[in-house]
Amino acid sequence: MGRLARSATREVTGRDIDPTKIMAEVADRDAGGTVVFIGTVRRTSEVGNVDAMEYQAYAKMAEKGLRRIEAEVREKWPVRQVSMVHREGLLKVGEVSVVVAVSSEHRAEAFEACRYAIDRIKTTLPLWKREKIKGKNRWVEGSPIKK
Amino acid sequence: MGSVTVLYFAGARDAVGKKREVVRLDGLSTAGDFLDRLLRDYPRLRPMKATIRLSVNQEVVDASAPVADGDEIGVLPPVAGG
Repeated sequence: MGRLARSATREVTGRDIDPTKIMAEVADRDAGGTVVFIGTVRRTSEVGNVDAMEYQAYAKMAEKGLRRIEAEVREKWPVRQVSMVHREGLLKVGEVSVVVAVSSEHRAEAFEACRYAIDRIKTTLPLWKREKIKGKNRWVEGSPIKK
Repeated sequence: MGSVTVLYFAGARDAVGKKREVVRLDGLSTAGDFLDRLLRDYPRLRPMKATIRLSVNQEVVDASAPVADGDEIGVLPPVAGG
């Protein structure tokens, strides 16, 4: 086994995310490349500058979904390690909302697998976010959840 | 007589005014019929009818999927994670 960390994360959390911890979890002696996607709360939205973003999750279903996405990734690419975490709760602008880390022998599959995983997180997991703008709340318009 | 636990999220939670409730099936046996009943009982959900999806035991289902005593049903508006 090439894995260097004790275990990988696949969770929805109410605590601050440390991207370096998620990155360290995919360390692997047989990996030649690691790609880490870090999603953060953007200040600008369609209707103005946001003061904060509130994330809501159906955590039990989302964590099942993260395990399913990892299985999909492993079916498509020969990756070494995968680690994924998504926030819930109230986040300030600039705070980390999601991290996906993938290590593989070569960089191409790490890039592709990481891109696939974050796209699947956005379209198939029960996660919502509500913008706080000047004291008003607005659910960000998404798309009907996909299987 | 069977019953299910219903979990409401995001805009559906706002429309219904609760996070969860236990609902009697009263003979309903598919997800589609169950959603129709929710739309009847909660008029404020109706504008979301076209985009809402249901999960049964944490899996997204089609309207024809069965629902049974003890299931956990999620009422899921369009998602926007990341």
